Amino acid sequence: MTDSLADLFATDPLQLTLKRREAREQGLPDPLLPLIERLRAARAQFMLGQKTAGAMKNVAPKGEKGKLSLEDLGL
Amino acid sequence: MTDVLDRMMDEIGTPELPPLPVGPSPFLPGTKMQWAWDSTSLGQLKKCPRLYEYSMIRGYQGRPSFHLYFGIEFHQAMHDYENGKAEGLNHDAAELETVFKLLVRTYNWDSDSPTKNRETLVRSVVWYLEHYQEDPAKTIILANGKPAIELSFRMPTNIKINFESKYPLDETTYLVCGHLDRLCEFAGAAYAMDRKTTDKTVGSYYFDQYNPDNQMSLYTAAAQVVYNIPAQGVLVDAVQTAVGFSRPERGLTPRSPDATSEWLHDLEYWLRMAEAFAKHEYWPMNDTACMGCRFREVCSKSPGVRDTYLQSNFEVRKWNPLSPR
Repeated sequence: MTDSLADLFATDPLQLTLKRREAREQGLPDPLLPLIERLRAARAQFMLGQKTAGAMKNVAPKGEKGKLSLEDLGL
Repeated sequence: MTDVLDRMMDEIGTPELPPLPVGPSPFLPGTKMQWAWDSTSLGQLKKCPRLYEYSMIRGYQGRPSFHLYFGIEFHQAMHDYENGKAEGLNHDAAELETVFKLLVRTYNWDSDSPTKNRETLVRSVVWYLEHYQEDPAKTIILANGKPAIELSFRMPTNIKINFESKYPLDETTYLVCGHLDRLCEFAGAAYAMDRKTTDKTVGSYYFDQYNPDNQMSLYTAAAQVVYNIPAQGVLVDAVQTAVGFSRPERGLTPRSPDATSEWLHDLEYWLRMAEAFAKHEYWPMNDTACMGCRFREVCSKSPGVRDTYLQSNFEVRKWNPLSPR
């Protein structure tokens, strides 16, 4: 977790509420958005890893019919 | 969009473990015979009458566990998200408000668990909501026009109360009650939905544990009887929480009409046993069900010292199935 996100977790409820209100009044993005975007990105990365791991189960030496090769996977 | 921030200003607190809510007594007046049963209390009776006595009759709940807190907060977050959607918020806005409320509620929560802590809780909520943003399971709309989410139900039975009390009894038959997370349509059939969080790997064996299962059979019966939904079982949404990831998995635990009828038929036998235990004010130990039981250490002590051990190691926080959520 980056320092800014760690700060967000450590922010007390009142301050967090005030930060959000202030951002809204100034037309700025919600201060919680970076946290959610970071978690979405982490999920996307995890899903990609899962997909690659799944594909690796079907990996065969190059040329074997019906199976992917490492080159096919770009690895 | 409603002003969620303004409302939150009034709601901010520093809760620790949510207190067990109160409500009318689930016991017949002046007796130790329970007339309103939920899956928790019935499950305890079925597993071990002594466990039932310690938990339900005497109210010993053990020390708060991070597993319980994590599960409660995850469910509350789902509730907040679904309410936000019902109020007209889009996915992004509902998710944002859900995370905000979660951070506020859990501000003082300090967990030593590497898999179930504040960070993994927030991550699990966001990953779950992202995973099911386009959920193929659609929430059923009830006859009153409201979405079938977070339903507290009371299911009357025709099982007569056969228990004497010196006090007049208002109730003549037993009641089954509880809370359903959601009723939904999935792949052309109706199901109750229940959400679980676990730090174990979720595979087919995980879902197999729910058939047979007291809670899932009760939920299926309630969906059919109380909400008149032809529920074919329970859709179980389990979220595995690990150190580096949270993985939602969905499984089905089906119940045929005959299986549901059998569960309801067996219920009467269990309630008659409960009456017999309460009549004698004795709940025997099932010493084949001690694995993983929080009272195992108590029961392993000599009978003469168990009360002292209970009083010094457990908190009294009585569970009430009739409490609204």
